[in-house]
Amino acid sequence: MKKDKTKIEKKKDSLPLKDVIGHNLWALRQIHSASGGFIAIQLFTCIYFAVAEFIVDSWLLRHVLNRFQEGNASARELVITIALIYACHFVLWYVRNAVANFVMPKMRVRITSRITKNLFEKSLAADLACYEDPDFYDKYVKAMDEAASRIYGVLNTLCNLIEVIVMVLANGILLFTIDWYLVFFTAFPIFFGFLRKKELAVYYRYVADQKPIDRRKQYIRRTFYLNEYAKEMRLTDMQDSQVQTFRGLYGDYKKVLRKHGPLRTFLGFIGEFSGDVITSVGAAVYAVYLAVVKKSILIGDCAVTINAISQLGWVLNRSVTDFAGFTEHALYIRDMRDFLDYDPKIKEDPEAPVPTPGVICFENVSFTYFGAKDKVLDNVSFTLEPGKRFALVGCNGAGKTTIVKLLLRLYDPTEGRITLDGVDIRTLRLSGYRALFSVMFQDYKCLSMTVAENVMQGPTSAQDRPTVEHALRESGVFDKIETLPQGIDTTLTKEFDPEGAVLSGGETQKVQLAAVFAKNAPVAILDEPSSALDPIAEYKVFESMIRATSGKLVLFISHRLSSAVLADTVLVMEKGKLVQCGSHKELLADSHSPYAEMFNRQAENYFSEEVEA
Amino acid sequence: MKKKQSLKAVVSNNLLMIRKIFRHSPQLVFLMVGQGIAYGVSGSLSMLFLPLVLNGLQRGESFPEFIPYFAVGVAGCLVGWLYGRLNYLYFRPWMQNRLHYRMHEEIFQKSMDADLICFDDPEFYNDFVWAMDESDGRAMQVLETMANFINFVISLGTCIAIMLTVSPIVVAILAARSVISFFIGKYWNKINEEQNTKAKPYHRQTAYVNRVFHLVDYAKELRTSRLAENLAAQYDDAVDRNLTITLHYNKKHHILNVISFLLNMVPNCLITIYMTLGLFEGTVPVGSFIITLTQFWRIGYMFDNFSYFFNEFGNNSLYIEKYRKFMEYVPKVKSGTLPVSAFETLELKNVSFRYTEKSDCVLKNVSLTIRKGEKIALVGYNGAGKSTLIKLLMRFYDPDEGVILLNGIDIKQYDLKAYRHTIGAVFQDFKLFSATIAENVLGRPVQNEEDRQRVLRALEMAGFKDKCSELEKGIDTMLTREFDDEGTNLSGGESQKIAIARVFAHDYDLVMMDEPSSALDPIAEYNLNHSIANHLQGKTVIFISHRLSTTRMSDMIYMFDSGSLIEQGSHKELLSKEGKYAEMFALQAKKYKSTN
Repeated sequence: MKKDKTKIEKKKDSLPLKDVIGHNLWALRQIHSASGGFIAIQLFTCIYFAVAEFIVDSWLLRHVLNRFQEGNASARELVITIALIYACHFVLWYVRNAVANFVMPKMRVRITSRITKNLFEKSLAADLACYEDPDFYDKYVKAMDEAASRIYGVLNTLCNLIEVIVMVLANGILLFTIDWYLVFFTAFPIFFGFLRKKELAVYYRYVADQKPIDRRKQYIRRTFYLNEYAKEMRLTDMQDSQVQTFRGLYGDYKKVLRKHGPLRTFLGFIGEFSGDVITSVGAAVYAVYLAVVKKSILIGDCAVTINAISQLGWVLNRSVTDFAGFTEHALYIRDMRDFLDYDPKIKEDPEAPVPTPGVICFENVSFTYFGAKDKVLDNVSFTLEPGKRFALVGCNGAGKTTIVKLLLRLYDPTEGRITLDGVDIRTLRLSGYRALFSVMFQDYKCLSMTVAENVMQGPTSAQDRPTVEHALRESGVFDKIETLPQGIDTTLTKEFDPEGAVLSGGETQKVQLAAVFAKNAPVAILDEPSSALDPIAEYKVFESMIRATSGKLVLFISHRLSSAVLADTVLVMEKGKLVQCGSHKELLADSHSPYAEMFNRQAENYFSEEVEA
Repeated sequence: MKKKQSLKAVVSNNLLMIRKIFRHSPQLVFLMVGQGIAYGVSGSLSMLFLPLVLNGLQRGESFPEFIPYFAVGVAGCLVGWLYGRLNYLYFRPWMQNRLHYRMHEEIFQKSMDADLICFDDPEFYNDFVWAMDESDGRAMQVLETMANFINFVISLGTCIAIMLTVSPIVVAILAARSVISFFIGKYWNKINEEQNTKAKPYHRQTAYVNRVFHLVDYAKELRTSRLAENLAAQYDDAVDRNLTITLHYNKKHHILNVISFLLNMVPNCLITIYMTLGLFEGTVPVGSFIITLTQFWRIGYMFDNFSYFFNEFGNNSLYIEKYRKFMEYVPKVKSGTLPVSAFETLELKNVSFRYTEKSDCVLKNVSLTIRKGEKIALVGYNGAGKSTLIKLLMRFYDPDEGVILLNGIDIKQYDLKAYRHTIGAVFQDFKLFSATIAENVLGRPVQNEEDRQRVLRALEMAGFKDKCSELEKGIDTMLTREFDDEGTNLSGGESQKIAIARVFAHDYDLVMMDEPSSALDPIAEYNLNHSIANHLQGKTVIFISHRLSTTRMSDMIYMFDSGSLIEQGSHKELLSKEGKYAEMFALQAKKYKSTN
């Protein structure tokens, strides 16, 4: 992590200009293609504001003074000019304001939705393996979080820059017409701009060094305020160690300050001195010299000069930061584009044939997770026939859940292949293939939708109601759902409905089981269907599972071996290998086999009781 | 959140915070007062520069006579610039961080006193998280507002003084305008708040959809179902509704925008015309004309800022109120004074408990006695109140009715920390800390070799020894990558073993285990049961378990059903009773028996 950060920082300094421009242009194209007029309106607005400011603040003052001193204008004429300028200003401003309030929100929604939807789509297509690659995941989360704001950010920075350019040009021309030497003074801040850039670079390093400290600090804060740590923090002395670590972080922070503080201060000193003092006071001295000694300009021009120069200095100073803004946007946009350009390995091929249910075969399948050294599955082969029930048993980390993930093509095997009726599943159409399965995952969380939608795992209509109710009855949670205020239309979780229902772990699992029943797919997969259930509920779930899935291919994972009895075939996994395969009876026959050993350990409690009782 | 506050409350809250900061870091307060003065002086000098030069020009002074004026200009730049740079880039980060850390330690301390029930109370919890996240930022904000205010007062004084000498009427016009815009600003705030409240649910909805798409937790479901369509529809719906709200309020915004614009433009236009006429009539000298037209925006801006400060102090005060509420929270679970004597009995007498006043009782009139050395199993369906019971025993909550007695004395009378130290626990939702394995097991830093041995022994008992020897750094391995890039992430079962090792590491009188084997495989579970039987001999142990196989080894079983104790006795007694427990057991055993 630490290394990554420094790498990113280095990249920050060295992103080539061509890429900076490219990424920023890409962002503008995104906006333009979603809503054509948006950029034009924004550009018009910023130019208009800059021009208006110049006319009202500088030009008008000079105009009135010059006319007055030339002595060839009447007050009436000037009053009309002033009134006209203000009237024009008002009309233009009014139009702009109406557009900003009534037209732009719609455009903004179009743009934001388009960007976000693109990302949603892309994230759905991304391989599950991407979630395990921290670099990729980082980019991805950042892209999701900042996409819209960064893309608008490009336009905002551009507008700021254009405003600066217009102001500089207008004031520059004004100064030029007064005395062309004055233009030199405006060049000072530009000349010293590189110092600002240097200062900024030091600042980035300073922030980068602080980041790891911040991350740790956040963590310690979490241990104090998150409910999940509250019990342990109160029962043990862990709180003291946490406070101690926290103090240590303060020391680390001081080191960072000591490292960067002096240079930052020094650079800041020089940068501002050049920009502020030399330019504004220097130009004022020169203007006074022109007025008093050379007598080449009038009092009005002298005042306008002093005013315009101080404004320019401020504007130019800011423009350096604006340029840095483009670089920063470019970095985020680069990440976002990396993500959008990512080509998933497992993807939908509309040309590929849609499969029909059949015999599924694992042929010498091995699998290693991204970045891991060890194989999670090692040369596993077995066959799943339709209409039969299979139990997958084994210790934690034996690879059971990985088999499910491969079966669903959330990953592809590193070696070997999985076939459906003899055809490699990689050649089949992904959506059609996945539609063959209904799955209940171990770490399931209900989404913040209605019960019915959670059961149907997709959009629902009125015709689905009997299906939903039936499935809920089958899984044994219908009685509970009926007590909810809106029955199966009750929203789950309080995420955004304060009236939403919060289900217990066991109830959640039953709702998910209902989803399996409702989908009624040819293959049902249940990963630890009973881990959150109490024994009686577990028994009922297994009973209903058998009833609801009769005639289907069922694969279930459980480490309560009592349920393995329900399977036609038991697959025993150990450290990534399939060590035994056969019916419960066959496997028990050899009392020294791993399966028999496990089973007897668990059963022992009940049998010995039997004897005693 | 936006309550009406009395001026007195605003002032007292802001002062309270400044006093607090002063206690932690007096230098910071001085630094910020200094900032206000330095910026005020610097701004004033810069403002004086142009009038001085113009005056000189009008009087027709010679070039050398301008030198003092230039000096004023340079001084104006220098003062602000020197102070600003040293302050922002050097002194402030130091002091600010000291404040940050000091305030956090205080909050940490306070948070440990907070009752566990506070975590369930969203209102308190929000304030709590806020206090943690933002209180020091807000403290800085208070100082910043104070410094800005000092600067403001000095600059405004100078500005008014300059303007009064050239055109008093302009000052009057701008003051009147500011009064009007103050009230408009207030109305504007009200509208914004209304809009935000209305739009909030939809913002949350879009944020939720975003989160679901990028969290790994949902990745599998989204790929194997059509839920993504629902989410997309939810997103569109939220965006649409939000747009409707925005457009509705923008009608008001538009009108307010126009009014504000006119409030700005009309006086500007009038002042320009008025001054121009004066110039031609000869009542306004050129210098005054220039000063007015180049400086009057500044005074208008400053007048408007009055309301800004008003708001800012008010806002600060609201937040400080929260902070105060949190810091002044008096825990309901209070420590007693008695030292804890060796465990003999633990007795519940008619204990009832509910989490909030509105909710149902989680425990109803429970009475039971636990004697030294007993192995106790609490069984029952999900939600029967078992976990709550052990939390009451640990005094995370106090019962609403009834008492819990340790050796005949109400546990409320014991010193809380000492009492809790007699208890070792494995929670259902246990958490490991980002620390070394040894620290996680000990619950504190390792102090000596004896500690290390203790950890090793405990890990062995918990069945973690093999895994531990695979790890390069053994018990000094850092868990999670929060602090160490080389940190290890353990699987669920491995983590649970470490959590279990905690109860073996210390010589606890009372050990509580809530579903200790939920993530363990059958063999590990079996080993754990044996380990408990062997190594916790003579200790009092309370289990919660769905697995009746675990409960078989206990001396006493208490069966709960919706908060009530319905059956109690040894495994044998309960089986012969043929009640709920027997029914549960039979169901589980059936599947094992039928095949043999």
